Amino acid sequence: MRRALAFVVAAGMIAGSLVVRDRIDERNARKRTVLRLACVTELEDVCNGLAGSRDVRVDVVVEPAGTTADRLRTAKVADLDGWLVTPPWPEAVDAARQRAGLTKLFAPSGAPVARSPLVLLVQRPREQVLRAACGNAIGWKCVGEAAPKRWSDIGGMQAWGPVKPWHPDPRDEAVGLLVAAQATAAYLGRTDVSTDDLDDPAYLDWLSGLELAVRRTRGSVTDMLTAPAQVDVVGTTEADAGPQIASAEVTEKPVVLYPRPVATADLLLAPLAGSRVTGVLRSLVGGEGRRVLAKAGWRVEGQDLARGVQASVPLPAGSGLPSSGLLAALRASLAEIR
Amino acid sequence: MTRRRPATRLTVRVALVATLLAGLAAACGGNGKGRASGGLDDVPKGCEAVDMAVSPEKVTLLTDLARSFNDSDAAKKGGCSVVRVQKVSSGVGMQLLANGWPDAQANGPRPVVWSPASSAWGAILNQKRRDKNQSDLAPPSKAFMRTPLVIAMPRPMAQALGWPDTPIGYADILSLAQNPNGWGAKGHPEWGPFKLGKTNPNFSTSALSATIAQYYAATQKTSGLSLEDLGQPQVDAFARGVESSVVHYGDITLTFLNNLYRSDRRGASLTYVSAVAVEEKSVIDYNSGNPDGILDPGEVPRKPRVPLVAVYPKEGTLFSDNPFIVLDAPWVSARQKQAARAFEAFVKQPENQRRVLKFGFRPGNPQVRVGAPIDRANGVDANQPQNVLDVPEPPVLVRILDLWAQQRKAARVQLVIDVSGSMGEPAGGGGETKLDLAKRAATSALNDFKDDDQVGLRVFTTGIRTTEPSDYLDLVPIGRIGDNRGQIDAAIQSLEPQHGTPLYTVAQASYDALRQSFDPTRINAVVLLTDGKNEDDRNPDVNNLLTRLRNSNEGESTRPVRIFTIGYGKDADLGVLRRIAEATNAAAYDASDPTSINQVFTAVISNF
Repeated sequence: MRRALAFVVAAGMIAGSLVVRDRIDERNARKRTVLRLACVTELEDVCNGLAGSRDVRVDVVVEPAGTTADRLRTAKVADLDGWLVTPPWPEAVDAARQRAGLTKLFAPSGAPVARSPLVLLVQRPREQVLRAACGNAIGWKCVGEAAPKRWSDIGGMQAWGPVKPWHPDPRDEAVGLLVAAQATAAYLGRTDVSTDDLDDPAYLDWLSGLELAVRRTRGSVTDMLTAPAQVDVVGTTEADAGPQIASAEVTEKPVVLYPRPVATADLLLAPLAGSRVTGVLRSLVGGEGRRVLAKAGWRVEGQDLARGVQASVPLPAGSGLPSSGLLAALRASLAEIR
Repeated sequence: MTRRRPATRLTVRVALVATLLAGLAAACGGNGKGRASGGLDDVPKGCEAVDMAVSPEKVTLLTDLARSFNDSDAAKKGGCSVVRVQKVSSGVGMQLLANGWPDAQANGPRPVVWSPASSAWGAILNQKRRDKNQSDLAPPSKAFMRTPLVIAMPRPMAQALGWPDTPIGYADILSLAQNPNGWGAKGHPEWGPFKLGKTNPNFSTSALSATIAQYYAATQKTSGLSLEDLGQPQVDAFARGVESSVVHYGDITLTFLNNLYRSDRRGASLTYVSAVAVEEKSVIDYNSGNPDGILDPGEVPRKPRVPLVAVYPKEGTLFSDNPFIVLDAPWVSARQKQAARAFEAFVKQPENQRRVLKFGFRPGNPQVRVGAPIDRANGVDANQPQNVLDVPEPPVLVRILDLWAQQRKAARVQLVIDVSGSMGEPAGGGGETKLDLAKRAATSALNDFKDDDQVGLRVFTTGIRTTEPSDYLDLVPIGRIGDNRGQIDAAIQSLEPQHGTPLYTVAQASYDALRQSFDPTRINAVVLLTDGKNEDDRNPDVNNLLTRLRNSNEGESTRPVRIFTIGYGKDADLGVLRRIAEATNAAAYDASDPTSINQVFTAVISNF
């Protein structure tokens, strides 16, 4: 009996060790897999979080979407396996490559990995002045009209100087282009914007007024919180603003507004067509990536919302923004203005 | 027995591992002034040095934080790393990086991280490299703390301008600076003319920011300053007007604050300087009785009799944003970058940001609330500034520096060089003498003067000639350097070491000569270089010299002549030289290492 028991225990130990060995081998094999992931600057922390993954080695390149796009547009060989980015960048890269007689780079992205509504942040007490000037509803159209003016022109204090809007540079930064698109849709009152609309002189005057007032000093939500008078109005994502504002210990927190209709930054994983590691990449982003993104303030299905993310603000079915093609045209238009 | 063998092996292994870990911990952790001190100490084998060049006002704070980091687990993630902090003025750091950071022996190790006071320096660096078709070294980076530029004024003077109820700006300063009645126009003739303390924008961030702010004030803009704006005649006139009220320049604001503090102790702070462009943090330090922001061991701060108040210019101001720039330089490895990022994250942790606040900076992490010492009790206001100016585009920044060199207040300088016998002693490793090195440095420094400056060359040693004055000789009389640069250069090359050191006699005589020919439109100064002590039996009384210098330099209607002293070599009487400089509200420079004379000369000439 004792012998039989000892035999069973020994056999169990051997089987167990084989299983453990197998898992170690599998993990080592996965670890030897190197994923090259390009990330937009807005996702720097998220992607650095993925780089620390225990299962696979992830080489992360963090750079503005425009920099990646400009490199890939003419590249013979892509130096990445996937790109974590918002529309329209992968589509715009492939369109440009096709025009140049080059092959497309990206496989279809599929559904967004994560989403975040675009928000407007306004410093207090300037928010009250702006609200009054905007007829009680602050939106990009009104901000654009106020941008070339001084606060004292619209009922604010002389000491506040000019109205100082800021958003990421739409020529290069993914969120910057989305914010500019949201502003354009707000000015025109619709999302079915055509390229002809972008040539409308009244629109161009308004857009120039807004963009030329945007501060050139590199800004961020952190800057708004730590150097309050540096910028007065900021356009960004809820993911960028919500958690930071919620945890901030500042005297007066900026007001977070969700301009109606709500528009969203939809985060896509654009895998390189034909890449052998697409499956691993999708699994990484779809697994650990989703957790990291949710923790960083992005809305991810099935994940808890981070502090500062407003569950009471529902997301639309689509992005609420003009088409990808229009966004690419808008980028070109903004390059001329700025 | 068989059961115990594994246990023994285990014990041995545990002991081995423990020993290794202890060794590693000892190697990386450190426990005192050694390599973990954050200074430029040796780096233990296996550890990665992360050298960091930081602007002077935060060197104590960063050294403190580096010490904590080096002792923490964060420094051991992914391998051992040791952060070492060295002090480099922002403008000097920019210039060194633009030149590829040559001569690590003289300039310190090439940095992995550069933290100038403002990200504007990174933009200037990149622009200078782009102009030479070189890639950017300073990638976009984030602020880890801030402090706004303010105009610091003695409280009674600010009140005379209407502070705190009336907003004050650069236009008010220009108006007062150009008023022939000076402070008399504000009911205080006893304060004399309006005097502005402003450093050299090629070195100092507060000066760079103040110069940018002046241009904005001149154009009545707050953003979008363009090259065309800078070329406007009225803008040029505005800039020259503000510069005309400058006392003298210099590489660091702490010189002004130290001089002001000493004047304050003598009850004379209101006649030295009326306003100084400094960072808010410096106002806090000054009002705490610590004008240079560094408390030596045992030093007990004493609050000034007349405190400063921070005026936040009504036209708007700029923040010194203290970027943490991990350089994209060929000498920076991936591992060093990783370690640098770990240190950056460490610095931004809330507990360390509270240390930042304690030092008078505004935290860069919004999770730490701005509070004391940034409060009215220290002469500053956490709710200010209400308006912030945009940092101009890089080409505009570079142009501002070029223009400043033309628009700055002109100088009238007597160079006084010791040619005593000891200057013939060897210095450096190449068989050169102290005089050889000094000649080279002085020649090079001549190029830092603008053509319109007036410069003369005097040499001194006992018995330099048989007739009186027998202790000094004017080789080139003071004249426009655009015309006499070659003459001075040739005279410098001909210098030979001779006899003794009549230090007090030449100091007094040079000072008196400049006072007699004082030009109120210029900075009037003596630059006195010596390697020794006074060796003149005919004039051995330093106290008499100091009293005369001090008495003739104070009061509302003085003709201030500054004596900037350079103590050269290990035998120079640094104590006396410092007292001579302080008696004229100037600064003393230490070149006790003769090979540093180039940098020291550059720093001295930055006063003009």
